[in-house]
Amino acid sequence: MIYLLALALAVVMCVLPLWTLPLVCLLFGFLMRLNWRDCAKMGSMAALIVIAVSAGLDFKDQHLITKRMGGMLHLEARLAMFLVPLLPGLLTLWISVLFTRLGASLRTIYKK
Amino acid sequence: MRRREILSLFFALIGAVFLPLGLYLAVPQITGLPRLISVGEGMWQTKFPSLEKRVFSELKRPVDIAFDSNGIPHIIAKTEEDLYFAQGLLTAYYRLFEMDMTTRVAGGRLSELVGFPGLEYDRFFVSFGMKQAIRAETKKLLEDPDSGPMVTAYVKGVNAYIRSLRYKDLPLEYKLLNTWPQEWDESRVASLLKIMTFRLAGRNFTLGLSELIDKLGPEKVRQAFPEFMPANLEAYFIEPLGPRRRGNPPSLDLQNHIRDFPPFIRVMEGNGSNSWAVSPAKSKTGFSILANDTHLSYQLPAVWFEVQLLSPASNVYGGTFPGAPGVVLGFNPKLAWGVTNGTSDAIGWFEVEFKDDQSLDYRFDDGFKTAELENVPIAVKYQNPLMVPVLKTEYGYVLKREGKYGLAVRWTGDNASNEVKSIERLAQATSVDGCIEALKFWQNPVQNFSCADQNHIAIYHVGDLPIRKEGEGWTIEPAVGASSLWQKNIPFEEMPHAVDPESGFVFSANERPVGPSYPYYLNWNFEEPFRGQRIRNLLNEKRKFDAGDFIQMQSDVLDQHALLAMPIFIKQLKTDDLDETEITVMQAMKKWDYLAHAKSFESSVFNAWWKQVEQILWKDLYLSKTPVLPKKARTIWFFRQLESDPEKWKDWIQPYASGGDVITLAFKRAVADLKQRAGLDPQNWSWSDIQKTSLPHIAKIPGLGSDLLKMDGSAYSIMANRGNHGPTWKLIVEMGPKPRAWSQFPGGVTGNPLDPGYDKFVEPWSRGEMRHVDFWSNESEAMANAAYVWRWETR
Repeated sequence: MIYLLALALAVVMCVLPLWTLPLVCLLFGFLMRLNWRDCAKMGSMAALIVIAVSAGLDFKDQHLITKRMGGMLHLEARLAMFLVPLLPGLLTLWISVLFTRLGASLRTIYKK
Repeated sequence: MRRREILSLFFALIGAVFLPLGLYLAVPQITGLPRLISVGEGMWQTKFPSLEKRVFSELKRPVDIAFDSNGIPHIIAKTEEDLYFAQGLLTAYYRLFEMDMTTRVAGGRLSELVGFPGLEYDRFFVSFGMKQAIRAETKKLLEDPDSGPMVTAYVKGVNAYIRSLRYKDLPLEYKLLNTWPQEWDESRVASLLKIMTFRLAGRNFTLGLSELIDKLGPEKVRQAFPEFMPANLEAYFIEPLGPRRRGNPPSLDLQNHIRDFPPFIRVMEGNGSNSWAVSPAKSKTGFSILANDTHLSYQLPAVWFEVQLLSPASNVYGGTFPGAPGVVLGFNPKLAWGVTNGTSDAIGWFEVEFKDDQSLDYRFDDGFKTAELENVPIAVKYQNPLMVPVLKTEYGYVLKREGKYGLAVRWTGDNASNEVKSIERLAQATSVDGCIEALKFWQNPVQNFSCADQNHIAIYHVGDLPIRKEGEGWTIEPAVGASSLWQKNIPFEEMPHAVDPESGFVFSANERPVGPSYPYYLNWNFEEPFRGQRIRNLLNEKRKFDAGDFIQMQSDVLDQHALLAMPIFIKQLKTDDLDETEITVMQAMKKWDYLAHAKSFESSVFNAWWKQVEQILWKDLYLSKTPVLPKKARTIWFFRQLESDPEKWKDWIQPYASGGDVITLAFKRAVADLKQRAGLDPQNWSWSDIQKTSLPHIAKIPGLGSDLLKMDGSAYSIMANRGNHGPTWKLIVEMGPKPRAWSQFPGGVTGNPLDPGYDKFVEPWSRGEMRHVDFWSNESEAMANAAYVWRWETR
């Protein structure tokens, strides 16, 4: 179940506007009442998928994304190719863990 | 609720809500970052949305955009209004951020987009009266029956694209800056014309010369800075017609009280260009041929947007400025035209005397007039607006007040003008006569236009230039009243020009257009004559030319500056005290062919050597603060004087005993400098490693510029590459029953840094390669030859 949720979050992150991700996470948290450990597991899985997608898109675009972003961050090209796709992954991890857990906490308050 | 649940809620709230909120309040600049790095809509969405099939309610008839094999767009419309609407829309599609930025500079609106870093520019241009000039120009553009509809349609096109944007489709720069493009009004077009005018008409050295006089005294300056150089150090592109008609330079006694000058945005000195044309008599094809390459600061996205505009009323191909309608330079089936910067002096400085320190009343003839004070707000991103007081007098805008005196600046760019009309007339012109008629509407900036139809050629120095009294224009003038005001401009018919000259060619490279026989003052400090001399020599060398010869000429890297300076350097260099490396270098320099190839180490030595000569002669001895150095041709002339009459000039170079001492010391310093920068072996001092060439992003965003390029050329070869500045557009047109053309520019059609097309032409451009232009005569030819076509329907 966690893996399916992670996949769903990764799809949201890769296809929809960013503001939809926290909403979906809140909803998942609210419905599933996930604990911190499950949130972290789900978030990490989603982040890994997002990193893979980012790296794939960069590869498809002849590494232009990482070249430009790496230039902005003053990173050497190879390092940029490795580090830049991590950024959306980290963002996914942050949003999915915190907002899912927030949703779960809100559910607890609601139940009380 | 259990304690553990409360803690969970607390941490989740902190991380998800309060941490981002705190970051937003503390560092608002980074609030766009999460969206930027999101895969669904951030920088991973690399492509602009396709406009292949779209409906635009503003169109009257369907419009086709036919792309050739190089991806250059050819806009085919049934009405003029649709043509310029489509031009605005298509340019915005490819270059929205670039045109947004360049149309903000003059109006003092850069800080609104980029925040604090734009403030220096905004403050200056607001104080300079640009907002008022833009208002007047907008009114003039819109009132004119030719330009008004063009500008309105273009702006409508830009807005149609802006309105269609979603975050995902925004150019990367907006995502980085976390901002959104605003809809345009017509003043944006006027703003672009004004900033281009300023970039090209801001060549004025009055403040620098005043500083020189202050340090050296008027006599020394008069001695070393004559208005005219000897003929072998000039390259008048219009031959002197008769005896000297201009008087001597003014007395140069400074009459101004303000000696500490305000900051003035410096205009890049090398803004210039090359243009030449040969008549049928000197053409292998039997028809005229024209060449033009325009030199501006390198940037990505490219300065120019190449396009063909085709409608029942016009058919024109060439370079456009993103942000203004029409083709600025290019050709139509009957006429080709090229442009170089005129570099005549269109700025005047006046010292205004106010009643007292605080008063707005200033002296005007026997009485006083009141200056107009306007507080202009400057919007600054993430900050409160800044109010800038703008003080306008009859003499111009006051940039500085010191006690009861004020320093006012007047420039011809203050005049409301309408270059769009001139551009439109050029597009319609069918002959050299038509070209000259179109140029009558050209006011700003002063430019040299070369025109060629099938059988005739011409060159015209055009634009508003005030008639100055004898001696005016050199230093800051006292503002005494009506007699200090500019009364009239030089009449169009009396501006320097040549039509079908006997030589069979016309040319210009920003040098002084005419000699002392010309009756009006134009400037004392034109661009160096070197490129002009080389072009003239090459055009004289051969009997007939074709486009291939012109392509070679545009890539010519003979450094004319070195050609003139090196014989003096070698002759006067004292060899007694040179070490082994210096002797090796000197021997190589004696054999140098003056070609500034990328691999040439001699070019590195010459340029380092020259820099040291200037350092010793001008900066160390006289001009430690001023950024204005005498022109290089003047320095060559100075060394010639030193050689021919050392007694007369020797006190100029104290404590050095002779010019040879200066040259030798400079040589030793140059070699030491190169050793330090590039190693001990002179063979490793290749020119492209010393003069590093690259194209930075227009907003100087790291990572969005080009890589380093191995490029030939120096500042004073025809291929005028300065590393950060040079030919941003190259065009050659062979006139004939159907014109044939070749072009190139550094950049690509698209301004999207995440698209491979962004810098598509940079490499071939750096190698001097040209692209054959697909110029289509009509719609059916376009449709038959297009690589692909977009169609925009009307509702």
